[in-house]
Amino acid sequence: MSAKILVVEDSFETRDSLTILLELSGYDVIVATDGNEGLAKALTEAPDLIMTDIRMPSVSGIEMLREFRRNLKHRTVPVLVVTGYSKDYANQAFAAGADHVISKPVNPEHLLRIVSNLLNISSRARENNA
Amino acid sequence: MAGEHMKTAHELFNDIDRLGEQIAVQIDSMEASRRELDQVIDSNPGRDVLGKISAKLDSTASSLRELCQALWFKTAGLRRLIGHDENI
Repeated sequence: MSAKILVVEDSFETRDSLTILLELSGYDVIVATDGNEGLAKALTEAPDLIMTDIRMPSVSGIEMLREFRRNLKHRTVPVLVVTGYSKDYANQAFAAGADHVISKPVNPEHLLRIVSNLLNISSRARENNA
Repeated sequence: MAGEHMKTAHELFNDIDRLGEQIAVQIDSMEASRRELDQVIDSNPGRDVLGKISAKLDSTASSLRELCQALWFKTAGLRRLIGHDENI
């Protein structure tokens, strides 16, 4: 069964092209266009990994992440933050519970390796806790 | 029309990657200038105008990052679709 990835991204072009790339790489993808929708889908769709932008309309990626991590059972879901803004936001993202933060534009090959690594780490952690 | 100077799809993809990397370098340069500007804004009598210029630079750099990112994702997707995904 392929891993399910939630992409939270307000830029249509980035969201659309990232979705296609992830699907072509064998992942199931669900999308949200802001932090509000992202949080709702993160709580109801049980993604294996969340990839989120930071600056978005209404609820930001950091606010979404902070809220998502409040629940103990969501603390093991890996969250990758991909931001178009400078690295000023990295510390905030880590403090909110991000597992990895990278700046756009990121090499797609590099991004796919990070996704794969985070999913592997998460999977092993689940097996060890089972 | 095929000819001796015709590039392969692989070469074209590499060209796109290279151009994207050059754009990314220029964006970093723009942001470095914006940070330099931010350091002197508060002591400058024209701080209001400079503040707006800084915000505009920040927003423009962000938009360019999004566009560059979408271009790279689309290229990577296309590479996979036509079977030139050995590097992915």
